Amino acid sequence: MSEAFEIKVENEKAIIRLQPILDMSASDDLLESLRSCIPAHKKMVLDAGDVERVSTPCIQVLLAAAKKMKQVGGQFSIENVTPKFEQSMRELGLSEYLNSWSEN
Amino acid sequence: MPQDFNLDQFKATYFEECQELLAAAEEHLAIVQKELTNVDVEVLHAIFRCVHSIKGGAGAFNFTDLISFSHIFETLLDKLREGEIAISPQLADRLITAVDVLAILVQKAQQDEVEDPSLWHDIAEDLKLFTSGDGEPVEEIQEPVGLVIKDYNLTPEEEEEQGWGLFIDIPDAPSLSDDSDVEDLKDFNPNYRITFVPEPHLLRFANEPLLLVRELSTLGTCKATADLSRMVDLDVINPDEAYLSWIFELETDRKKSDIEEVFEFVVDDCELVIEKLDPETAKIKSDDSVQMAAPKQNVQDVPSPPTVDADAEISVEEKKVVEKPAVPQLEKPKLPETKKTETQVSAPAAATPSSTAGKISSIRVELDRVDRLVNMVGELVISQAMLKQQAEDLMKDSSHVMQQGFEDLSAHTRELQESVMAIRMQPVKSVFARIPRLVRELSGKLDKKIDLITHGEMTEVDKTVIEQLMDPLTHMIRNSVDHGVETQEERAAFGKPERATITLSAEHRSGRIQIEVSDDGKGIDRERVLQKAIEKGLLPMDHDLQDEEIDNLIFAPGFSTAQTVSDVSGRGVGMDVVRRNVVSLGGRISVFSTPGKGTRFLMSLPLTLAVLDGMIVRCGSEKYIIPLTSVIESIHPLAEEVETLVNGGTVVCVRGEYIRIVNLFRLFNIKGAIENPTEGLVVIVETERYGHVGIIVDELLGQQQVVIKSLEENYDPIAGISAATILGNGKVSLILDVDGLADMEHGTERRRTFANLEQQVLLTGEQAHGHD
Repeated sequence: MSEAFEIKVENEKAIIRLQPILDMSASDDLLESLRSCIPAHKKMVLDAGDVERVSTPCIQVLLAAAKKMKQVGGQFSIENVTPKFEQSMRELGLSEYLNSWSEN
Repeated sequence: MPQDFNLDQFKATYFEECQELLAAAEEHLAIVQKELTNVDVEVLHAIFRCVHSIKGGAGAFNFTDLISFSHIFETLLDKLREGEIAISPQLADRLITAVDVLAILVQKAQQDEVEDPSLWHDIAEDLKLFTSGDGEPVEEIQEPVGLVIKDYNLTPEEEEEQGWGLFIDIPDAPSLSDDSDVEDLKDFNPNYRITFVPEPHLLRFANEPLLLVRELSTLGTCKATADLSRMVDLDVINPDEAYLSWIFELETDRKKSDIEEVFEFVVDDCELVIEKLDPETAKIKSDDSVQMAAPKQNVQDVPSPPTVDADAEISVEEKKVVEKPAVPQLEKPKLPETKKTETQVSAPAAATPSSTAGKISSIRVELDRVDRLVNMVGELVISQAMLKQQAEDLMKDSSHVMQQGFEDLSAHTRELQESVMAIRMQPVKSVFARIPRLVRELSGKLDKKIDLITHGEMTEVDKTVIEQLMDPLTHMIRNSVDHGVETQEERAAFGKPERATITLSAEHRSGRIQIEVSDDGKGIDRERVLQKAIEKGLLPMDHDLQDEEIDNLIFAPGFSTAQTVSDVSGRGVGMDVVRRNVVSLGGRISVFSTPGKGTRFLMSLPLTLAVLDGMIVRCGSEKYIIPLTSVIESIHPLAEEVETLVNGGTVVCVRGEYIRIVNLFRLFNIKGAIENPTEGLVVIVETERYGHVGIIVDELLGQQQVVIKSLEENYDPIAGISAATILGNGKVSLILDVDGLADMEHGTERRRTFANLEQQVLLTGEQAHGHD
């Protein structure tokens, strides 16, 4: 297990700062961090400003988290999306999801 | 890259690439020259890329002459493709010369010769004049050293490429920015749909779908649609299980096998369906999805609809991406789009050469190594045949199990052999590609207008055959242009179209490659040919040659010399050399001519010089191989079906058709063989010049794949025999040349009337036969 994700809580909002390398080994941590915030917080913001690399396992976790947030009526959003992150999401045909998260 | 890499190795690869690039450049230049007024910009791009790649490599190895010249050349090409300079016939000519000079410089660099700027200085000046368009050189010739970097006009290709075609670009960040995405979608017309459903465990083996997508993107334009229907809840999700699946739509000019290669390592861990799409349906489909996008627009604020069906998702995505620049998709501002379109045109085009280099789909192997492999496989085939025979002799009753094993071994050996042979197969394109230029140059020189039409350039043939094809083909084409096609005045007088046509075609035919060169010229002037033959003492006055034989006189050695002959006769530039070349390859050449209508040369060559499927026949105590591809059937004729002709020849009537008999025993003087067709077997074979003929043999022994051992190399050519092989019992057996045999049979009859051996040699190009 690598070091955990930094979670900052402001009001109702949980801000998770994503690590630069979101490879398979980071996916467990990411999952834990997200599970710890949902459904405790109704608003979740991912700060993707540092992301240099993402992998399918992490993306799956993000998708599941977004789905969960929607189920509980919360808001799932992402900010500071880096071109690499955007590119990976597009390549996997997931731009639509990324866009909708960015707009939240 | 490791520090201690061997530069020489890369140099060798570079020079090999250069040859291909130069050939490609020439090919495209031929198109430019042909369609002066209407040149496709893609063709210019292609030429540019060739020169550009050569420059890039030259930069890496610091071949200064090459860099300087190719840079000047490239600058001109860049302006051409940007449409800043119009193409004129003069310019096209200079471009061709420039490619020649480039080839010389490459050769010099390859041979490590001292660089000599005088070689290219003149043409470079010319190119610069064209570049400037007003006679003023655009820039000074740079001093070679250090020019590589500072002197580059950065082109889209250049900005994108990391290396120069030799090294693999790491597909880390393909040039897919937001903008390019918009463009990609605009003209996206996928021809493959790939359904990729990973097994849950796929990710655990360090397989990353992202990398697969990126690799797919190197093949062409790829668009992914994710399917989230298998997605599970956050509470139960296991990050290293695969929940997503995809449909990739790919627009590529690559083969399905290339796509399969991308999934090579995951194919066992996923469901994979690769469908080839009909371009029409693909188009309609993408149109549909654009239309579908419209109503979807207002649902965009609904976040992550995980179970929307695949098609709907893709359209939402399209719409949104398009919306990002806040412009309606169909009414994008004109200006920026034009700019983008240009880069887009060059981007996928640039992907073609770099993708071949970027993704290793082929390797270069020295021919020697392949030859060794081929040879060893040949030996393996022989050993296998021997073993099989020995086993049969050893245990007649209990050999069933063994038999099965040998069948398998035989199948595997054959497959191995075919695969190895396939390594050596190449399309004749490499030879055909040089012909347009030859025709162009010659017709220019002779002031004739000639269109060259080529067919079947992708026909594959063994590399050794390819290598030796160029000379005869050049001769034949030159001959057609020079002597076959009339002058413009003559054509006008005969009411023929102004432009003459020369057709060059290749096709596979009964296990051989057949190459045809035909023209719509005046045909062979038989009177003159005869006259000349008689003058030269090649033919007696009282000859009884038929038209076709007169035509074939042009292959006689006496007709090969000097223009004096070609001036008076219709044809005859070195055609004896052509025949000699072709025959030495195990091929045949014949000519068919219709006076006033044209001439057709037919060249038939073996596909490979290594193996063939043969029918083993016995004649007396000798065993011969008849190539299976020529065998039609074998019959036991009845006495009343056999007729003897006045000239001593024999024919047999098969279903109403008379077939000439080839008396093998007589031709090869075989003792103890069955001489009467009714007692033995008649194997009917197909020949190219004599139609069906029947060869009398004692019996058929079976079929076998045999390894060809050249007689020419190890001994001398023998009439009627194309090669030799080693049979399972270790004995040498001769492979019959059925056309040659028919010729011999024909020849013996001829000789009876001519009583002139020289004439026989003259007509057939073959030496006296052994039985005389």
